[in-house]
Amino acid sequence: MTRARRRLLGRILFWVLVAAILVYLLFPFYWALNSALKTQRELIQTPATFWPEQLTFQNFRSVFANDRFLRALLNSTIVAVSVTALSLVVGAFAGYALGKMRFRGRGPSLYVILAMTMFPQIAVLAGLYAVIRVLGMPAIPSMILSYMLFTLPFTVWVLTSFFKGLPVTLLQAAQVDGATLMQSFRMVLLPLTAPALVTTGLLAFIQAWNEYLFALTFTVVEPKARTVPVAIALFTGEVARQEPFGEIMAGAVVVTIPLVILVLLFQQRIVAGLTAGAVKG
Amino acid sequence: MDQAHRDEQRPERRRGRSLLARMEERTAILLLVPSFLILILIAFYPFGQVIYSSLTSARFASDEPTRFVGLQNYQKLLSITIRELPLKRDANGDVVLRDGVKQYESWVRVLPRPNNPGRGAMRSAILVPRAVITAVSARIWEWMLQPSRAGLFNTVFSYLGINDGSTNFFGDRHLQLPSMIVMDVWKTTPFMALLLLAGLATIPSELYEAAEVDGASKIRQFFSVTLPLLSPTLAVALIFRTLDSLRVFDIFQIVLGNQRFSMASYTQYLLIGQRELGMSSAASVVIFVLIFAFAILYIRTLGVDTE
Repeated sequence: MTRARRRLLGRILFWVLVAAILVYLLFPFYWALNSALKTQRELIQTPATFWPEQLTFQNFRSVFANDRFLRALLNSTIVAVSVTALSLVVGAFAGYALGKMRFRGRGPSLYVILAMTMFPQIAVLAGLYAVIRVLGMPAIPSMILSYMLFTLPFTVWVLTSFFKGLPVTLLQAAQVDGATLMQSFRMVLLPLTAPALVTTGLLAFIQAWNEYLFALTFTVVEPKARTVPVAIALFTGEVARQEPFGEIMAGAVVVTIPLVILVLLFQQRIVAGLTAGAVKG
Repeated sequence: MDQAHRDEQRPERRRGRSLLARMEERTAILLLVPSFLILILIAFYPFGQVIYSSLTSARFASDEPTRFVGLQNYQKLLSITIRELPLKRDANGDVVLRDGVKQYESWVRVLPRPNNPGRGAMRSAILVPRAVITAVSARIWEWMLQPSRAGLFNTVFSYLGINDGSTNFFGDRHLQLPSMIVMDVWKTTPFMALLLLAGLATIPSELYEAAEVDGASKIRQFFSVTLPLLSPTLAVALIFRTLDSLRVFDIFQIVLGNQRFSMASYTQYLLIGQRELGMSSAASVVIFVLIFAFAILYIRTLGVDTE
């Protein structure tokens, strides 16, 4: 085989591989969309069809007419936004202290935070559930508070390393100008942290939007407070028959599209945040 | 006179400096208080409670008084494990890992080349599974794996003549875990790919140029340059995935329900389905210990320093 031919073959194989990976990654999502656009009859027909023969938006209409689903969208939005805001505020404080100040107990505090990033939710499930039952706390505040278990340590960790990377001279200049520690934090450091805040905020939002274990457990006695993952997992149609997969797929598409858009818009930042601390050097 | 003046000033200056340092320390602690209060409330206290309840016979909504039972719950768990789940849970986590990482490894090689025209699109596409809610992806895969030819896999398999189009992926005990593994690997591909991509980016391109000059083939380059230099990243990825797959919950609970449990879905079932606070707590502690062991490994491998 000549060199040119081998190169051509290599390129063809390469693109075949790329295409195969793309299909693998995107096909389940296509299949959800495909199923959501089918009529009920075509949906349960065998063998399954690879594109809808008769396009219908009926499934989407029923999803948007479903009170429980809309309620879940609202609940999820409230929970995810609150968790994000809360962990950014509290996390920025802690990150500032750990990244830019000297005090006794800094090392141990950092270790505790790092250890907490790996703390499994399931380990505190029974304890949290008991606490919430005793306090009689409603499900939505319970979720907001308990989601900090996985958003806060990560936020603190990333923001600490970010603050540490900012030049000390900035702080010193602010102090020479007579700014207090908190003033220099608010007026000098915080604006510079914006990119890190966006990254960690997005990841916190996605995690909170995604959470299922706590949401399922805490809403057992309070179905009104169900979030999107729980609603999708327990989705039942208006009429009690077999599982309404057409509507479930429509719901799946509806809740996925905003996140896909968000993720694609902030691709670079998310990539940076996800791999933060994973590779040395 | 000069000397006296200086002597007068020095202690004052020292006190001034330590005042500043003390102020800094006080501010720092104030700033840390909210974080630690929250962590105490939602992590340390509940975890203490879990450890305590794991040694008792506590149940929800029961008239029986709670008794201290020592390690009985752990004993019960162990006997259930031996009877029902003969170490399969561990093996499962392992399979997810090994298969997964191998797959990612080969795919990711495609990505990092600079000036690769498909790279941008690929980068975006690879994030899609990450953006899908786990519960949603579980339902999508559940639909694709339907036990009749209304499902994608049975349709495709019957066209290819692999089966008769009625394989029950979730009912057949031998196919349950492979189905879960496929779902989990799909969902976590992006994270692994990105992690390894970050690792690949740290390999200097001169090494490949040098290998090229020495006449090493692409395959040889992969084994002699890429793999050894990527191994720290691979180790980290492996541990991340282990921690993650050891606590797998969503897909098991949604798709298999009470048919077959993962460690986490069994723990949740004990708590909510059976109201066995004590048993559920014991299961939590076991998972925690397992994950903790891996976490220590993680910190050792990374050589995390706090300075």
